[in-house]
Amino acid sequence: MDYAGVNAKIQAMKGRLLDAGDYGALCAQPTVGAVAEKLRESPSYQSALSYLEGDELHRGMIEQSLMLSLAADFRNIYNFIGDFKIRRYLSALFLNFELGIIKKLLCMVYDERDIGSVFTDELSRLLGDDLEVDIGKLKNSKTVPEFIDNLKGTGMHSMLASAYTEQRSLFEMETQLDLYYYMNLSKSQTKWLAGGDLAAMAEIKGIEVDLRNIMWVWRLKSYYKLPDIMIYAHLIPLSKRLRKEALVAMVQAKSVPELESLVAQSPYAGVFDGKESLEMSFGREMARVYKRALAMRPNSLAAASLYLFAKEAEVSNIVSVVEGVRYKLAPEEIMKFLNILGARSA
Amino acid sequence: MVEKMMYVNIMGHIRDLDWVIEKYVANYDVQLERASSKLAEKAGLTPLVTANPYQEAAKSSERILANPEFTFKGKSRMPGEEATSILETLKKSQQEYSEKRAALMEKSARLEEGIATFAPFSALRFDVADILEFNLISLNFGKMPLSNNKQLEAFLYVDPEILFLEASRSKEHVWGVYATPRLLKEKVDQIFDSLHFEHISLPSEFGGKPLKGSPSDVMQALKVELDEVKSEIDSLKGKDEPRSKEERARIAEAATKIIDLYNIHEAKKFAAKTPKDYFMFVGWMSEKDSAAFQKEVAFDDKVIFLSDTQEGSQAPPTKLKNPPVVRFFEFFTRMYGLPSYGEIDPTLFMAITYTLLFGFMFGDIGQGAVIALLGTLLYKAKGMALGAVMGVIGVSSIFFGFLYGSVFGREDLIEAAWMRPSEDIMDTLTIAVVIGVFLILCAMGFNIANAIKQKQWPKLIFSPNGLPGLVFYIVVAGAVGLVFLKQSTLHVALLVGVLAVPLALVALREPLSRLLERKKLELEGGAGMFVLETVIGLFEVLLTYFTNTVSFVRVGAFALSHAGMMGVVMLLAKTASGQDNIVVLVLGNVLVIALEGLVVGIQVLRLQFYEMFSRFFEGDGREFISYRSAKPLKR
Repeated sequence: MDYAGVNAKIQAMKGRLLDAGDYGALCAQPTVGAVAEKLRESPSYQSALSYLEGDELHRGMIEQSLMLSLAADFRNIYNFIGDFKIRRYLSALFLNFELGIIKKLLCMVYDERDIGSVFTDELSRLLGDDLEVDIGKLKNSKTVPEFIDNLKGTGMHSMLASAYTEQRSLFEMETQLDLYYYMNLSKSQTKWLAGGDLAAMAEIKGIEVDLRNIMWVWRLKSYYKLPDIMIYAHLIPLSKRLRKEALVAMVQAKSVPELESLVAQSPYAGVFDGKESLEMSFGREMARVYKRALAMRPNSLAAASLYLFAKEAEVSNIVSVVEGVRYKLAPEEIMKFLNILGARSA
Repeated sequence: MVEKMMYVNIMGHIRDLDWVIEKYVANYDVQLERASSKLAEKAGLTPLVTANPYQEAAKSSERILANPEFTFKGKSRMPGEEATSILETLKKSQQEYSEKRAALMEKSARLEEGIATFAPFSALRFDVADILEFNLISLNFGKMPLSNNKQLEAFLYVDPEILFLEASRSKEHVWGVYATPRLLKEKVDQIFDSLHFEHISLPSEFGGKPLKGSPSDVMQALKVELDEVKSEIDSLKGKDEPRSKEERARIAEAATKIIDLYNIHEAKKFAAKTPKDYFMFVGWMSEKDSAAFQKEVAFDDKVIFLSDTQEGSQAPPTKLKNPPVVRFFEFFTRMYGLPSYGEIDPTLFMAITYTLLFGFMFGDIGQGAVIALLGTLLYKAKGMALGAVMGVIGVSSIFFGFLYGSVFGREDLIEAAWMRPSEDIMDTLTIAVVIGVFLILCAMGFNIANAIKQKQWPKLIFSPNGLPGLVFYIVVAGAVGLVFLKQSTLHVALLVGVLAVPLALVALREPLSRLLERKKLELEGGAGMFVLETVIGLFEVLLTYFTNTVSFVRVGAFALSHAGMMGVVMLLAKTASGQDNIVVLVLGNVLVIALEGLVVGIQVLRLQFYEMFSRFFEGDGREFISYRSAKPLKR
């Protein structure tokens, strides 16, 4: 398939991404309302934020509106690609986004909060179209088993249903969702992609899985202090450059310094330098991987996937800005939490 | 004719109640009534409350007889005890059957479940019972999600402490067994738990029998057993129903008996009880039946039977009794209403006039024969009363056909014995009106007779269909007749004088009848309003006399139209060569018979109901329904 047309469109969309200067201006706003006001100046958020009024500007609402703008961008790209096979893959790729929403809802259900109020018409339409479940039923779920039961018909249902018991924590269920996402993506990658698309996406997503696994071993060992044998269930059983034995060795490392040295010996030495948060390092490295893949295979899905990656990062950055402004942090402080990829120029 | 009714009392000692019902009440046409509470109180009667002991049995008997395989005709002479025991045996065997079947079904479900449990492990070639008893090694059967199994394969396969043996997989799950030294069991269980492994316990025995061998052996054994159970279930099929014809007939007879017994007991609900343990039935019987009853119980000292013409608290029910052919027309009378007990039954009158009017309006030998034939066939085949009516009016049509000289519309085949309506139009219409005048006078006559019979004096003296109406109508009709015959020797002043009296009576019928009944005279809305209403009312009465009379012109009109319609058919059937087209002729005749037959039939009925019945017939009667024919449960 020829990506000239799609890439031209993506080029135009990229021009609307925020750059460091825009973020600086956003961080300098005195109130959350002013941040929203400023954001509305940007063409990509004009419509997404248009229906938000001053009083409604709590975090959840802004977050949802931003996510909907991400979904709109995805829909744009999806509609522009005619090849049904690639469309199938794109759906699997974007599932991450829907699963993100499901995780948030699941979290609320675990906390015994009413999820009905979260569902705006836009969100219902979005989830209803993508997941093919009865949203009316889903939003009235009061308990976790009910919630899982109402997901019947989706691919994730059987996995959640057979994993859930009363002892299972939200964390474990979220891991199951991640596992579902990556296994499903890997399956549809080999099934629907070929040539440059397959090469580019296998590279990008393979490295993403490797990095994610390292990041989780690190996290679970150093912060959560989880016993080694319990860590495996949180890892994705796929690999690109990191051999499985190497990953198992990392899991079995006796101490954090030993883990550090094992990572340093891996193909991903230098990614996690310990100076910034794991997520920051992960995001920076992934941006590099995307850009490299795009440079090597310009006529592939690389451009589209890079755009979606960048947009996702931007959404999470804006959420951080809103939080920072709400808690009256200094603009420089807020900037430190942002993952500015510079994707606009790539 | 309305049959004469007797108000009857049947009494006896309570211990003879069943017997009396069975012997008398169930064999005579008697309509039972609940003794009125007033009467009962006076006589110290209490309602006899008994539960019907055949309630349950009758219900199942009804179900049995609903099955066309179980039929019994005639009267069941089986003793009640025998019938009860036959039905109980049947019920017991059916119950045993369904219990047996349910047990087998349950067993087959459990077997299927067992097979389904073992099925995913059928690839494992070792004896489950043996390995579960290993001392040093723990074995765990179960399933896990496919993706979690991938984690196991990716990260834990190298671990020497863990051995997972895959047995089978579906799109979503992997079944298998993991083995671990008992010393490490806790740790390994934890790992598998984190991978969402669901334990499945394989049963070591089924129904007391130990399950030996590999899962596939066990499955095989269970399948063999399942097949046995299934064939046992199959062999049960049809066992719940009695096989032989004689047996079925006997059961049907028993069920019939039970229903009879049930009905007898239901009759008790109408019985009242005296303080001295005597029962009493009250009800209605026709005079004839009552006399027969009286004769039969005359020498039976256990039953006291009293009959009386005195009417009970309720008006007697109506039982129509008409001669055979006339009886078919009861169907039309009932359509309007059943005569009340004291009223004249108009069926005979209606039968005669309906038949004659139909013939007069639709006189044709050929077509009448078709209608008569068709009606007879319908009556014979389906027992339809309408069919019988068609037979009768068809004959009338044939008769008038001879009078008019009309065969299938052809007026050139035979001579008219009387006249041809189409050639004597004015005469035909005049005759029709004269018939109408006569019929209206008859209707008034019936009304007067009813009024006298029922002692309704205002109806007799003031009604437009009573005496004044009769006088007025005869005088006017006579005067018109004289004018018509050009013999006008009428004295107008005398005429007006004679007519003024009946008209005044009719006009003032309401205040006058109030006076007659010695009620207070009240004029609603004042005198002006009263005058207005009276004038309009009188005008309406006069108009009705006129329109009802003119209405009979249609009788002649239809007689005319028959020749006209058939003329059209003949015209269409004529071909260029001068021959008749048979198909057109037949179709034309069919159409005319259907159309004219239907329209004339309806028009005559309309004349009956509207011009005649409305003058004298109220039709508020209550149908006589004997207990025998209206049993609570029919068999």
